[in-house]
Amino acid sequence: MKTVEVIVSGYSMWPSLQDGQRLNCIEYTGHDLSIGDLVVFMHPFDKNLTLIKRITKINSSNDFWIEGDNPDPTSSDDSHNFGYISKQNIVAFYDSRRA
Amino acid sequence: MSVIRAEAHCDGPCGVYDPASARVAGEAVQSMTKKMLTLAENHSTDCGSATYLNTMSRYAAIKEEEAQKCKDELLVLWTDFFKPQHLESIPKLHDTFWKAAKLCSACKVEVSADHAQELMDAIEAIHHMFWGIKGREVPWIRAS
Repeated sequence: MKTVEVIVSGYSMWPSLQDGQRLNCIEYTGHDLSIGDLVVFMHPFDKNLTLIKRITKINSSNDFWIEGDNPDPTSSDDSHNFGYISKQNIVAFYDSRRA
Repeated sequence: MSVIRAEAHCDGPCGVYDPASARVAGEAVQSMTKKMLTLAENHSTDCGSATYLNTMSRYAAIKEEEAQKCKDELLVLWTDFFKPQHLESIPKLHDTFWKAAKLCSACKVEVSADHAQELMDAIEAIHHMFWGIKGREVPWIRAS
C-alpha cells in the first residue's frame, strides 16, 4: 500500500486534527471504507481543492457522507454543502485501525 | 512519499469580520449618552420645551439604534467568527461577549456614562481577542 503524507490546513477537523498536523495516509485504490474513517478527497465542486473529513454515513450506492469533526455549524465545508461524494473523489484515507 | 495539503476549512469563504463595526456603534452610544447627560444638566429649568424634547428624543433614538447595531455586530463576531477551538486560548471569550451584549442592553435602558465606558472597554477587549486570533497586531483606535 502506497503511503502519502497529508498536511491538514484549517480547523474543520478540530479537535481530532489540528491546523498544520501531518498524517500518514494510504493512497485509495478501492479499499473498503467504513464509517469513522478519515478520507482525503477532491471537492466535488472544485477539483483543485483537496479536503480531509470523516465518513459519517454510507448510502446504498456506496457513496459517502462526510463531515468535519468541529462541532461549530459553520466550521466545515462538507456533505451538508455538497451532498454525498463518490469513490472517484477519494484520493487517500486514514484509518487508525490500519495505521 | 508524496505530500498532499488537505483543506479543513469552514463552510464558506471566511467572511470579512472586523470588530471596528461594533466599536463605531459603541462610540456612538457613548457619544449620545454624554450628550443626553449634558443636555439635561444644562436645561434643568426648561426641559419641557419642544426643542429640548425634540433634541433629547433624537439623542435617545440614536442611542437606542446604535446600541442595537453594536449588539448585532458583537453577536455576529461571537457566533460566526469565533469557533470552539478559540476557547482553548481565550477561556474568557464567552463571558466577555455575554457581558458586552448585556452592556448594549444596559446602555439602551439607561443613560449611564459608566456603562457606556464599560461597553467600550469590552469592545476593546474583543478587539484584542479578535486580532490576536488573526495573528496581527492592530492598535486600538477610536474615532472620537
